[in-house]
Parts: sequence; C-alpha cells; structure tokens
Amino acid sequence: MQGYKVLLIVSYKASARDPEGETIAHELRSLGHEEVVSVRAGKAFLFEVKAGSEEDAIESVTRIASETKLYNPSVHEVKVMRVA
Amino acid sequence: MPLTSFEIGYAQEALGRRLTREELVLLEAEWSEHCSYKSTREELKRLKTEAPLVIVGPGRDAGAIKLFDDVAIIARIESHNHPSALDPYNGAATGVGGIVRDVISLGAKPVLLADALYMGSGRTRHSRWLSKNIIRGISDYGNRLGIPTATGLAWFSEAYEKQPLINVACVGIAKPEGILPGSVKPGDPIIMLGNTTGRDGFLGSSFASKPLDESDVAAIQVGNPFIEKLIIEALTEAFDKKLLSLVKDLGGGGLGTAIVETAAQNDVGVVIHLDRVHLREPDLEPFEIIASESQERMIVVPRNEGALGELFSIFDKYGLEYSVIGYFSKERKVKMLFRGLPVVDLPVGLAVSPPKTPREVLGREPCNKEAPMLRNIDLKEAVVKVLSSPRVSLKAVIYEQYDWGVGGRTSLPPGYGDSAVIWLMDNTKRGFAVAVRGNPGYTRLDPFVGAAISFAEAYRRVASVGAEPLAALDNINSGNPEKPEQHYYTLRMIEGIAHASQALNLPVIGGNVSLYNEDESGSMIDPVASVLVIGRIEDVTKALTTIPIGDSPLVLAGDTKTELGGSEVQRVLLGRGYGRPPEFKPIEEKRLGIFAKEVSEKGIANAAHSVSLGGVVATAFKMAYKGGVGVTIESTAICDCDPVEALFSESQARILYEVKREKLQDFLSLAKAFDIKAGVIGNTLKDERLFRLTHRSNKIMELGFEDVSEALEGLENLG
Repeated sequence: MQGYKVLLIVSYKASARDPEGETIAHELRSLGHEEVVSVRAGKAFLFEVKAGSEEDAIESVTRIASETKLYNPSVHEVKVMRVA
Repeated sequence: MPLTSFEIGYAQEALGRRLTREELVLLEAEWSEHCSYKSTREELKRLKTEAPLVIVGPGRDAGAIKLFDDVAIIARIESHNHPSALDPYNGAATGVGGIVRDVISLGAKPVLLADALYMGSGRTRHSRWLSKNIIRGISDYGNRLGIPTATGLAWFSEAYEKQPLINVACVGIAKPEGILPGSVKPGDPIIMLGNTTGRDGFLGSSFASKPLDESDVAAIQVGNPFIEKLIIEALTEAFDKKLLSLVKDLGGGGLGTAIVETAAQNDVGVVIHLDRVHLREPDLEPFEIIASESQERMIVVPRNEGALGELFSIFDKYGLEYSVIGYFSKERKVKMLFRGLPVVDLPVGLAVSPPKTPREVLGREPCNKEAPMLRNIDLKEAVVKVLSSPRVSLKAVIYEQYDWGVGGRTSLPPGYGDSAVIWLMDNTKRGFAVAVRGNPGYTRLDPFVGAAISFAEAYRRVASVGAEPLAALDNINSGNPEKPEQHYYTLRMIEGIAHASQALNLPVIGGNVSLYNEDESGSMIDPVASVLVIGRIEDVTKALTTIPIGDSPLVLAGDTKTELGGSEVQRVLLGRGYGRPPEFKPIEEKRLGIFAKEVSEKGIANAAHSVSLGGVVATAFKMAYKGGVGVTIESTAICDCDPVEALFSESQARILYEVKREKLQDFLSLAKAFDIKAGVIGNTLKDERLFRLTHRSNKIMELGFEDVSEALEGLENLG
C-alpha cells in the first residue's frame, strides 16, 4: 500500500448552466480580457489515499465521492486524476 | 413522448395535415398535465374563486386581492417536486425563482416566501441528502434575492424517502391600480428579457407530467438568483414609470406556452421569429427554442410604442439581455418562423384546448376501521416520542438557515407565531399574516376531509395571531392520473378544498396541481394538499405570539372530542395512522376566527397557539419550552375522557391561549358570548422548568426541560 494524491474536480455537466462560471467570464470580458470565451467553475478536492495502485486510488476516490454525494451524478460531471 | 397517438390524431384531423416537429413540441408542452390541467380542469371549477375583494383570480401568473383599499396582495404557490427529487439543491432553488417571477408578473414587489416541504424520514443517507439540499436551495435563492422566507411547514415520512414534495409560495404587495392589466392588442411588440435560452431544462414541464426516469437528467436547471435580482430591479423601475402592459414568466413549457396562453387570454394571434431569441448556444434548433425552460427569462410587452426606448435603456442599465422576438396579431393564430420559414402555424383555440382525456376513478370509502386502542400506555414515553417526532419537534434548524427577517417587515418571525406577520412598512401599523398547512397523515386516510383540514388549519393559524383570513391558495400533490385508484385521491382532495372554500367563505385565488408523484415501483407518495391562507391585520404590533410569559392560566378555546384517527400519537406508537381523521368543523372555525381577532385586539391574552399535531400536550409543551416557562395541565379539563385521548386528540377548531391572569373573566365571558367552549386547563409556571400532567388532580407524569430538550431539538442533523 502506498500513498497517492488524487484530485477530484466537480463541475456542472456541459448541458447545464453554470451561473458562477458565466458571471466570471462576463466580468473578465468587461475588464478587457476579450479573448475569454467561457469559464466553467467548480469544486476541487485533493485526496490523499492509500492504495495498491494508481488505478485503485482513482477508483476508490471516484466511488467514495459518488457514495457520499460529494457530487450529484444527475447534474455534475467529475474528473479524477492522480497528481502525486 | 407525453402526447398520445389519440392527441396527435386529434390535432392532425383538426388541421387537415401532419404536425411539424415544432408544432408537436409546442402541443406536447401546452397539452401536458403541468400546463393544461387536463385531468383536473373540470373539478377545479368547483372551487370558490370569487369575492368582492378578489382583483385577479386563478388563471394568470398569480392571484391578487385587495388587502386594504390602497394595498393589494399578490400571491402564488407552486410545486417543484420532480426536479427536486433529482437535484434537490437546484430543484428547490429554481422553484423559488419561478414563483417569485410569477408574482412580479403582476407588477408586485415580492416581500415574503413560504414553503411546505414533505421530506423523507431522515433515517437514510439519501433522504438526509435530499432534505439538506432542498433547504439549502430555498435558503440560497431566497436569501440572495433579499426576500424573507418567514413561514412554512416541514413534514417527514418514509413516504417521501426518494420523492420529496416541495411547495413554495411567494407573496407580494402592490398598489391596486399598479397591478398590470396583462392585456395586449394586435401590433404590440414582444420582448424576451433575461437569461439566454439554452438546452438546459428542455421540456421540463412534460417531465413534471410523468414519473421520473434516469434518462430525464438533462431536464435539470441551474438557478441564477443574481440575474433574477436584476430582473426584479429593472421591472420594478419599469412598473414605477408605467412602461409595461404585460409581464409573463417563462415557466413550465417555456416560450411556446407563455406565448400561446397570453394570446388565448387576450383573444389575439401572435407571430414569433424564433431566430431573434438571444441564445446561449448558436446551434439551437427551433423546436428547442420553443420548449427550452432555461431559468430567469420573461416576456414583457410595453404599454405603448413610445415606451420601448426607455425600457431598453433600463434593461441596458442593469446589464440585462433582451430581444424583440415578434408581435401580437389580429388573426387568431400562433405563427412561428425560423430564418423566414414558417415552422408553427396553429389556431390559438386548438393550441389551448387539448381533447378531453377520460380519466377513471376508483373510489374507496375512507378507512373506517377503528384504530387499536391507545389506553394504559406509558404516558411519559408517549409524550417524549411525540415531542421527538421530526414532524412535531422544533424547526429552528430549518428556518434559521433562511433569512427570515431581511427587508425589516417581518414582525412575527418563524417559531414565534402561528403565522408570519408582515408589516406593510408604509407609516401605518397595517400588515398581513400568512400560514401554510398540509397534513399527509389525514389526506392518506381521507383525502376529502384531510384537504379540508389543511384549509382549516391555515385559516385558524392566520386567525390566531389576530388577523382576518381573506383568501387562500392551494397546492395538490398526488399520484398518477392514469391510475384510477391514485386519481381518486386527486379528485377528492380538490373536492375537499372546494368544500372548505365554500364553507369557510374564502376565495381560492390560485393554485397548482402536481401529479405523477410516484416512486420507481409505481406506488404513490402520501398525497397531500398544501393550503396557504392570507389574512389582514390592522396593527401588527398586536399580533399574538406563541410564546407564553409564565404564571398565567392556560385556556383551551374549542371543543375536544376523542379524535385520535390519523394522529401523531398513532404514528409514533403504532407506526401509522388508522381510522378517520378528525372532523372538519367550518362553523366552529369561523366563529373561533372572529373570536381570536377580538382576543388579539382586546389584548387579553399573552400567547396563542392553534392546536394540531400532537394535540394539546404537544402544543402546550412546545409553547412552554420556547417561552422558558413550566406548565401544568389537568387532563379532565380538556375532555372528560381517558387522559391519552384528552391529551393527544387532534380535534379541529381549537386554540390554546395563555390568558392574562387579571383578564381571565373577560376572556371566558367573551368566549361565552361567541358560544365557544372555553375552560382553564392548567397554568404556566414561573420558576419551575417542568411539564406536569394531572388526572383528577393526581400527578400522572412529570418531565424536566432537560428530559425533552434532546427530543424537541432532534432535527439538528439537518443543520
């Protein structure tokens, strides 16, 4: 068993609105950053988990997040990746 | 697709041609249960909807009554049950957003939100997740708009473990002459205001008209209270400058239904250029533009052409997007074009008249089976169990998440009165009171009596603070209309509301019917009718609280019978309700209502609490606990019967008062003059913080505050 750092990013599905991201994008453009096309906002969780392999680490973070409702599969999408 | 082949055939026969894809989508939304009320339309006609003070009855975005000669009240109630089951946070939040826009649509300033929440037991992780997020969704959206959520009800039961019921209401104020006529004429331009139109929330209302299924996830909408707040500000300015003749929320059914309904109500036609709608994604198909239910969008029509420029500059000032999408026309047709090509061409009459949907009802007489006897039980255990029932225990953990005081109008906050009392803030002491009630325990046993009792309880709660009930709104939550044994509940609840509105002589100025509340196995939730009552109060500073001051007589006004059917004590001791719910007593309720107003005006009581769930014992103990004073009650003074029946009976038309000691004779004489049974049933104490029950003067139970604090505050896990 080895320690893995796994990053979980939760954001609204592409088909759903994202008021926070849209507001940020709008404000950035009005500040003159016209190259900003869109912004999506979300939440990030950095886990440190013990696991036998990187796959296992990612699998357990994904499972825990779903079971404990860190995100709602009906509206959110998640990205899970190992960072260290 | 919710349109049946019969409905499609009916439309095609009327037109003499095939429907276009866009027409199909439009009719699917317009003829859905959510928009057309096709299963309940006929029964809803039985409601009393007229009264001299009604300015706007059911049919528009909200109803309106004259509160005083110079003040109108605008109100609306709506459910957001299906979205909240999938995404409790956004489902509940967008429910608030929609209801607020409905009230603004009449030209009102929204000043109060109320909620009726029927949630799961709290014993499963899923139900706790739903409840917490529903409360957070209402709180976040309401708080960000700066509208207080100052009254409501929360019910918890396994029946709502996966399918919660979320009824939210908004009340606004306006000058009677400031209420928008809502009329349009041929040639008037149509402006779409607010959020961009996207694929989110596609066909939400037909999604609300059929049981949930995993593939429905794309129908979820994310609320944006900030845009809503800008819309409120911009429209308020436009109302003040008298620039508008019509404002309509784009709710269930989206642009298509809003346009069709407006045209139908005004006897005109309409021409819409779909490609002029401001979009979130440029590749939206015309049928998607018609049916999208993106939030925070409204249709506005200027009072005259000269108003256009000024309107646009107001919208620009608030940074709101808008587009001129079409105009009303003489020919009574709904025409929609996309890049110059016609995609919809339907007679308005056809679009708003779905063919009759035959619905069968499988009635069953209310369950008359007598309840198992509840005598010789451990009284102390029964009291603690009733007080710790989440339906009875204190709800502070919920309403303290709401900003119930924002705006400074709330003169009776949640937890301190039987209803929210809202001050008009107009250099007078005038105000209004609002209460919302619903009891699924009763409606499950007898939908007719149960719905009537919801009405009576809301009526009584408005009366007990000292207000005069003026109007009501109802929200029916029920099962699948295609299943006769479920549809029975829907129709009987409507009949119960109709009966209560006639018997209590109170107009129903708006309402909502939510059907298809089934779980995945097809069994119905506990059906329930939420009823909200609005009353007038001349002096908000005289409104009676539920908080006793101690060392004073407790007087029960109203008659107690041995009515334990569907009661809370049955549910906590037997696991469910049995028998018949208590009797609905409209004559007694009306008499008690006038009496209660006099009690408040004469200032002869310290506190008043309508007696309901858990009977006299739960009502008295909760009052005492909140007031920090002890209480002692003699059971035979309530009813000369078994103590369990006396203490836990849920007989209607009763209010428990803490009367000013020196005014006791005045109080009892007043009750006598009204022919209301009233008697001293005990006392509040000053120094002893305990609950004591006696039977023929023998002590039968005593509990310290510390014995019940955990029970009464058991909802903490929702925080």
